Formats: sequence, structure tokens, C-alpha cells
Amino acid sequence: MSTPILDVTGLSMHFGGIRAVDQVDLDIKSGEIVALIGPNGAGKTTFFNCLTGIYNPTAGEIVLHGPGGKHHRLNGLKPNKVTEKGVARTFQNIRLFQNMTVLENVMIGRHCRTRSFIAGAIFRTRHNRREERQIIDHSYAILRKVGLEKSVNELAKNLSYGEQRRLEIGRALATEPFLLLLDEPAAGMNPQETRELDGLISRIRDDGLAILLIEHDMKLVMSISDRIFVMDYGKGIAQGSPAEVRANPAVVKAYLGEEA
Amino acid sequence: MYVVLGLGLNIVVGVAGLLDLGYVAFYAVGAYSYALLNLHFDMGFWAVLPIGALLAALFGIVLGFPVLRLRGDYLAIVTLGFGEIIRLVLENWNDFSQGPSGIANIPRPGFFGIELSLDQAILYTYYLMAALVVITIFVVNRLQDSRLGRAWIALREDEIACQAMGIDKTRTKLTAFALGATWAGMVGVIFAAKTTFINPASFTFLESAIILSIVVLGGMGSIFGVLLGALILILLPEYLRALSDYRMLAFGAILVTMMVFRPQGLIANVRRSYRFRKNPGSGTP
Repeated sequence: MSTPILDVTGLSMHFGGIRAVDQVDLDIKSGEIVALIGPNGAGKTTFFNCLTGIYNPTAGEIVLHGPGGKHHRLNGLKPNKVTEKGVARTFQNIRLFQNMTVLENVMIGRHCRTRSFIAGAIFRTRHNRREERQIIDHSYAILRKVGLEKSVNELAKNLSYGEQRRLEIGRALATEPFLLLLDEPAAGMNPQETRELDGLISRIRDDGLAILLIEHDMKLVMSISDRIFVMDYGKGIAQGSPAEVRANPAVVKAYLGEEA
Repeated sequence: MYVVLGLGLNIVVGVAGLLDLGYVAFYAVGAYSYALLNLHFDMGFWAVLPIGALLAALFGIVLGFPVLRLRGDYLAIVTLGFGEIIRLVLENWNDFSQGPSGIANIPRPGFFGIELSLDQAILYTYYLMAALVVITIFVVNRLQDSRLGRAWIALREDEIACQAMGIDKTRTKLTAFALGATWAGMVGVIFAAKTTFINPASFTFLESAIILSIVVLGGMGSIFGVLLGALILILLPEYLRALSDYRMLAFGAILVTMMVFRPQGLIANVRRSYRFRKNPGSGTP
């Protein structure tokens, strides 16, 4: 565990009078798996959307400490710029490119790391062909990593639910992030699929990525997280190791209500 | 000619999923740039062809910049309005475009300075058009399986996911819009040279609708679909001239039937497959 790679301080997102995210602090160190949990409507996904530029936060600072000591302030950047800086995400409700093949979905992820444009596409210069080749090879390697190499040419919509979730992770990995945000990756998965996912997330971490995940499957959260943040009604109410969080009365209260 | 227009619009509507109902405006820009540049500056066909294409692309970017943040139906309405504006300007700004009476005596394309008889010139224009079709198919085909083409399709599928993958939405859309407009501009120049006379009546909304129907009927995003769509929609009315009163009726009926029974068009676009060897790493497309 080393220096933090993401520092969020006092992040707030208000929609009119609703404080979906209210003064939340959070940090992630490199190589860490951090879980963000909380009851439905606690503001977890809004928090994600602030990090990835889909929303422009009302207040607060999001600072990314990239490899090589570069610092980037992420507030108000467009989503594609955030991705360029090395933060990739998946979505709570799967957002794959349904009518493209599995391989192409991952190839799209390579978009921001490659440069070919109109002229390159039309004339197919040597440089362009080499780049295209690298995109394909790299994407295929990622599909092997997420265990989808058998269905490279299937349309994404023909995959099973669990496979689609894995493809989304693969697509995010293709953008070469050093921080991966997973929004309920295990939602709707059966226990077998969840176990596979557990292994996949650990493998990604072992490749040197930091992971922030939103998840409701407590078994998964408790088994893989290094640290857990808990949100309720837009506020951060607790943080710590899985054991600490489990014992925290505020967390128990948020989930189960006041003891009689 | 409609094949090229169809393929051009196919980039915008079929591939990138931006419903453009004012496509004919760019076509008009191309045609009028040749007619006017020839009238005032005596410029030849070959000099204007790239200029017309460029002007159309420029119009595409100028229009695209503010409106491409709209989606679906809203975009369709704005582009429809834009198409009408261009036509109305051409019709009413007499000093500029000679109004509804149009511009006549536009020279046909030159052939290395050799004088051609009328028959030869018509034949020559025809071959020019055919050559443009071939070039267009070539270009569109290459674009489709490029980094840019993939980005367009992804944008059609899911904009938010696209941005999360690091694709610059505005820039990618603008490229599609400008490229589609470029093709319309080129065809416009050739159209002016072919008919030697243009007036605003050639650029009504009906033209946009026909081009769009070609794309929808043929199959969005599919090159052969568009070819087939253009052939059917342009040739069929010629053969069914006897029934011409009911032509529009049939048109509508066909489109509705297509929407219900085969929304992907006559020939659906098939994504490219890649083959890989089983051993790790080295893939072969």
C-alpha cells in the first residue's frame, strides 16, 4: 500500500434541494480494492457519475495522482477526458454496444489510446495497419483475461448476463486505466458467476490496478475489499476494514434501522 | 447519383445514427457552388469539385456544431429546418442565386480540354458518376471497419458508454456529419454539371425523404443494402409509370411495412468477423 491515487474531499452533488451526495471524503491507494456500499438511494452511483464526469459536482475536489507523479483535477472534465486520464468504469445497468461484436466492444475501449483518423482509415497507411493490428491483438488478450475468447465474433447482445458483465469489465480495461470503477458488477449473477467475478477482480488488482466498486453482494464485498466506505442519505457514515465496518453501529443502523 | 447520396447519408444516419432530414441542403450547397463559381469566376468543373465538397463539409460543421448535442427526433427537426432554410434562401435571395428561375447554361465537365459532342459529354458524365460510386463504396467500406467507423457505430449504440470509453462525442459526430455533407456536396457539383440547369425546386424536402428512404429500405449501415435501396426506389417508379398516381401511396405503404416486418432493412449490416489462432497472443484478423 502506497500513496493515494485518488483523493476526494468534500464532494457534493445537489439536484435542486436534494443533496444526493453531501460532503463525501474518500481516498484510494494504488493496488487497493475499495468497496462503496450503502442502502439503495444512498448516492453511490451519483458519486460514481461525479468521478467520471457525467455530472459536474456542486462542490468538492476530485484529484487524481497518476503514475509518474502527475496530478489531475477531475471536476468538470468531460467523461472522455476522465477516461483519458486513466479512470475507467462499468455501468450498473449494462451499457454494451449491443449490435457490435464482443471483440469490437473491446476495440472501442482502445479508441482513446490510438490516433488514426479519416485519412488513415481511407488510405490504410502502414502505420494505420500496424495500429489496427495492435488494437486487435491487445483486445484479444483482454478477452482472454476476462474469459470470453471463445465468443469474439458473437454480437454482444447474444451473450449471457454474466458474460456481458465480464465484457463490460474487459471493455473498461482496454482503455488502460489505473483506477477501475465497477458499478454493481455482481448484480443479477448466480453464485457460480459471482465466484468467477471475485477471481477476476483479484487478478485485475494483481495487475496493479486500484479498484473502487459499488456492490450489494456482501459476501463478495467482505471477501475481496481492503477497505469499505459506507454511504447513507448522501453522506459518508463509516469507513474501515471489512471487520470494522461490520461492527460499526452506524452501518448496522443504516441497513437494519434503529434497534428497538 | 442517388447511390452516392444514399451512401453519404448512410454514414450519418445508418452508421452514426444521427437522423438528418435536411441532407439535401448540402447537396444544394454543392450544386450552387459550382453554378455560382462558374457564373461569376468562370471556374471549371474540376476546380469546383473539391471546393463544392469542402463548402458542403464546412456547412456541415457550422450546422453540426450547435445542433449535434440534440438527439433523435430533435436533431431531425432542426436538420429539416436547416434544409428548408437553405432552399428558401436560394429561392428568395435573387441577387445571390437568381431566385426561383435558377441558373442555366452550366457547362458540363471538361475532358482534358477536348471538346465533346453532347452525346459524348453525357456519356462522360455518366462514367464520372459511376467512378464516384466506386470510390464512395471503397471509402465507406474502409471507414466502416476503422477506428473512426467503430466509434460512429458505438455512438449510435450508446452515447454515455461511448464517452466513458474515452470517445469525444462532439468531435466524432461532427466528423460523420461533415463527411456525409462532403459527399452530398460532390454529388451536387456533378448534378449541376449533368443537368446544366439548377433551381431551388430540385432541392426540396422530398429529395431528402427519398434519400432517407433509400437508406432505411436498403438497410442502415449496409453498403449493399443502400445500393439495392437506391435501385429499387429510383428504378421502380420508372417501370411503374403507368401507376404513377399511386406511387407515393405505395411508397408510404412499403416504408411502413418495412418498419414493422424488417426494421433492419432489406440487407442488414453484418459486422466483420476476426479469426484467431488458439495459442496465446498472436491473433490473425
